[in-house]
Amino acid sequence: MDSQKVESKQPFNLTHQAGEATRMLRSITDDFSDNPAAMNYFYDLYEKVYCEGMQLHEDKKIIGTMCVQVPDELIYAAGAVPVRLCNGFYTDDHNGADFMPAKSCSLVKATLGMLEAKSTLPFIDRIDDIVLPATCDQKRKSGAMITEMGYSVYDMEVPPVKESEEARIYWQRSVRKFAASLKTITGNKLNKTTLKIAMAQVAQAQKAYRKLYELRKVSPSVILGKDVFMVTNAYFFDKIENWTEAVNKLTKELEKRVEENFSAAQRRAPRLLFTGSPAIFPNLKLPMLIEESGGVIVGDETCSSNRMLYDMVSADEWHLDAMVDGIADNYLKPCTCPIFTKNDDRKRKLLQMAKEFSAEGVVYQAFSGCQVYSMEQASITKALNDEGIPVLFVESDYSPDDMGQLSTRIEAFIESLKAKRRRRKRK
Amino acid sequence: MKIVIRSAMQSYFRHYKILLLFIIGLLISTGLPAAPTYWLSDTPPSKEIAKTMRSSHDGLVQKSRRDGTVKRLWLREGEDPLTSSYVKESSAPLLLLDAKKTLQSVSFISEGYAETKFKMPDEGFYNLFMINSFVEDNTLYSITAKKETLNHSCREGHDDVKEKMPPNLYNDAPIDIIRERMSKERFHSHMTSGDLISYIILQNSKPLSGASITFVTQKGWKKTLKTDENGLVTFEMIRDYYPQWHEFKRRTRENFLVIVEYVKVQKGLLNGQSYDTIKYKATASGSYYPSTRDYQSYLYGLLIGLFALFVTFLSVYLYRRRRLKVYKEQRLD
Amino acid sequence: MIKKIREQINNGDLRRFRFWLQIFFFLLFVYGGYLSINLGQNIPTFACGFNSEGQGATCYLIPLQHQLARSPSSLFSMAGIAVLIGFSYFVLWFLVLNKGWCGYACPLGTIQDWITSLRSKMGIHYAKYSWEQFRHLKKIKYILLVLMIFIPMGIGAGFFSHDMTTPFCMICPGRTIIPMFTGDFSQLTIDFSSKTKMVMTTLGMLITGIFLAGAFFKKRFFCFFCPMSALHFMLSKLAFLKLKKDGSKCTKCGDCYTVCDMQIKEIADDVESKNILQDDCIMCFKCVSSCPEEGALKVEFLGQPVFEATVKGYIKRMEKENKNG
Repeated sequence: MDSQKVESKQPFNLTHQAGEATRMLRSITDDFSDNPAAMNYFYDLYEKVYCEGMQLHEDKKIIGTMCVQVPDELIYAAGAVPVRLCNGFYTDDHNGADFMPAKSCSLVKATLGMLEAKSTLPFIDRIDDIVLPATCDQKRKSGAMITEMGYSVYDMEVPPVKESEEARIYWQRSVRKFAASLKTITGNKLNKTTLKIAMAQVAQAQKAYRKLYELRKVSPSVILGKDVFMVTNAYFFDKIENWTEAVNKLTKELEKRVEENFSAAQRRAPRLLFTGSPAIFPNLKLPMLIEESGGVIVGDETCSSNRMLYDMVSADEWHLDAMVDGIADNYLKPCTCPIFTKNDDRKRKLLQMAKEFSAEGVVYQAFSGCQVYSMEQASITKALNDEGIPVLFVESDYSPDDMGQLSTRIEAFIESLKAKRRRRKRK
Repeated sequence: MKIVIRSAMQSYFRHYKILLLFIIGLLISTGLPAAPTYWLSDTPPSKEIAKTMRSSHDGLVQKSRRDGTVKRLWLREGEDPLTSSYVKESSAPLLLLDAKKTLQSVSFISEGYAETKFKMPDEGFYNLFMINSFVEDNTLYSITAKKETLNHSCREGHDDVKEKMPPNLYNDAPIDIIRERMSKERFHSHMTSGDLISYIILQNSKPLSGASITFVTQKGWKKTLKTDENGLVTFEMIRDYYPQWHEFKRRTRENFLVIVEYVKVQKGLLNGQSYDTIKYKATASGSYYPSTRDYQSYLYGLLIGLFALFVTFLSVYLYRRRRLKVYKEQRLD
Repeated sequence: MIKKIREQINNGDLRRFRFWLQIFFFLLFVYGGYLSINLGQNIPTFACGFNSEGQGATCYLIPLQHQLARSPSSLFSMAGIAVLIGFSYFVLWFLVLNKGWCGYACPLGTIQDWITSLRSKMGIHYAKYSWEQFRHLKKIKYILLVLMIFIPMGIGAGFFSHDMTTPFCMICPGRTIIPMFTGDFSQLTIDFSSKTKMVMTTLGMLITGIFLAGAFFKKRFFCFFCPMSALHFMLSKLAFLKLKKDGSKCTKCGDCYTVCDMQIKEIADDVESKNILQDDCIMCFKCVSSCPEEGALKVEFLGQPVFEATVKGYIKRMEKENKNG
């Protein structure tokens, strides 16, 4: 709970990051009424970790991961804990800008800034190994930079095309190589039992998330999007058993809310999907703006949230090779990350979600500098528009300067959705 | 009725003489006058006739749209299936016990050979009896020739096989030769060399013990036994088919002959003639095939199967090891 | 009420259900004869007719080959109608279960599944075909089907010796293996009585050896080459039992592909077709039971959904398997 190694470091709770975290946390809890009681676990968690510097996972080795393609089950099976390093702090983004090109993705800048300064995460000192899948350009090149900072980086080879058999086999081999390297990294060899237990643990977490996912389909919505982002972002670093338990408590409370026909937002709030570059705490400004302007985010398609937890793994036979191959397939084939050549899976997913969640509009965020999300935007928008779902494309970054402009656009979008609904009702 | 015999051998005077001598020899050897051996056979007398017939589960049959399946039997004379001659003409009475166990009267037709035909509309066993008796020298000679034929077509299905298997009995036969069914015998079963063939001899539905029964194979090998108190006698079918290896035909159908002889001292009167002894002679014929042991080998079969199994296992094992080397496949097990 | 029943079924343990149903059909077809059960000779699965003691029914391919082996004059005359009649009985049996005959009723398939679970318990990894190999191997069953139809006709026409009898039965591993279950080992012999017989029985034993080893390493090895499967597939559009997919719900997670014994990739990759049955599919429905998307895959009987992929069912089954597997 107290500050880290003194040397050149400030006490944790006096850092800029802690201040940023505190401010955002206050907004999240105070700007809205009727937060579910079970959310207090998460608010406290963020408070303790980001504002007070609480340590976690003290008994295990921590392996940092970047990107959603890294198979968590394998890391758990090797007796370590995967912590997702993707960072959402403007302070770190600012720090990262010192050595990154100007037109870079804020997320990558922030992550690198954090790794350089060894700040923000209280247990960052204990992270020596980082697994980095070679996904988008900027993530790919950060590997070299991170190595120079003194970390040990494992480059995971991700095929750029996921439809072909060659890609599947390539990825399976890549995952197998990673599984074998975990022995060198952690000192523990994978075996059937530990992997089964790890798969069960992750499956429990995914099961809890699915319940939450299904509950968000209910109209009127029983939980606000900002809270769900908090929940899924917590998965980055929280202890998995605690997280699963907390989510189960949350879903129980939400089920009661459903029975009481409780509405977390205004009854007429337009239901929106959020997609694109991930909103990571404390950069939840866009979801916050949307919900403060009267909309409600009922579902999301981002790698910091839905994409991370949605697809569940099956295995036919419980041998190590078969299980690892099954895990590999599951992390590649359904992945809707825009770094792959085709957009089809993401289109279908968004269309299906729009149907299931009765969404009226989609907010598509792309960080400035993110080429892949910006390029996919046109075809995704067209596909959604063809089904009568309007899309608001927002280009933004971590800096707080564009709040004003953004809130105008968002308010206008929400108004247009409300008007559309009124028109339809009149018909 | 007297049997009118106009044997084909009349023209072969010499053979007739030899045959006569043979019979006299037999008479001398048994001490009592003996009757010639007649038996019913389903083997056609000539290749031309055989060509018009089709093979079925129990020998050759004639098939036509109008009459269905028709069985043709010929009367033969002799104690050796290989050399028995075909009788040219006969007017002896014939009785058919069909698969439905009803008796019908049929007769011989003469189309160059003494032959009888009957239709076989039902599935099951058909039994043809030729029963004749005459008195000579105070002795009543009772001659019975029997042929049991199976009619089966797979098209009719195999639902009632078990019910139709048991032999049908004709209680008024002077001597009825009944072949006991082998265990698990069905319509598709064949008798082969090495099988134990059992017969029960009945007289007026009662087992006849002490009768002399001779079993003759295709090539003339004979064995004579006596029936026991239950009328039962068992023969082991020997092998007498020894072709060259490359001429071996496993569907070679050979005939065997069963001759029963029994003497009873009894006084009686037949058509005004008196007699004081009765000499019974009954024949039945059947067919057998080479045993499967002659051409089927378990050893080779198992060797080949195990060889294929072993080779496949080995190749998969080597393939998996090779893949490890070439691509540096990561094995975790 | 119906909803509750449906939910019970959707949450059910498919593996256990399949295990017991396979045993039931195995006992029926391999030992049913002892109880005088006879379901006829038009059965669309390998209830081997060479198992004369115990067969509860007869595989249609035996009468088919026998009938086709008649001379052309009788085959193409009015007598040939018997072939069509037999075929229509076969079709009627087939329509009920579609290719479910393969996955649940076929004794040879059940034997392969038992060999597979033996291998799995020994901890040996299974074999997979690459997609390239797959494409070529798929064609073998059609070739065998064509041969199975034309060689008997050739026998009838006099091109081939009668010793070839039922040519497919001579090379089918069912002929050698299924009678062994009733104590009849006589099919394991090599028949030296003629050259044709020697060749055919040797082929038969070679294929039996390959079958046993292949089934050990590859799940449902023989089913890739089965001409009955090819025959089934040609009729499958008419059948009552269907495997349907709703592509819009599919996330292409590939779970169905992972568990598929026949390595069918269309089940995961094809998001357009509604009727997703492929020619290799044995309708074991492992794919449906391992799909975590609600309603993406479902089994329909005469248009009514019988077994669907549900999240709850998936979770229940996966948890159970993780514990036991």
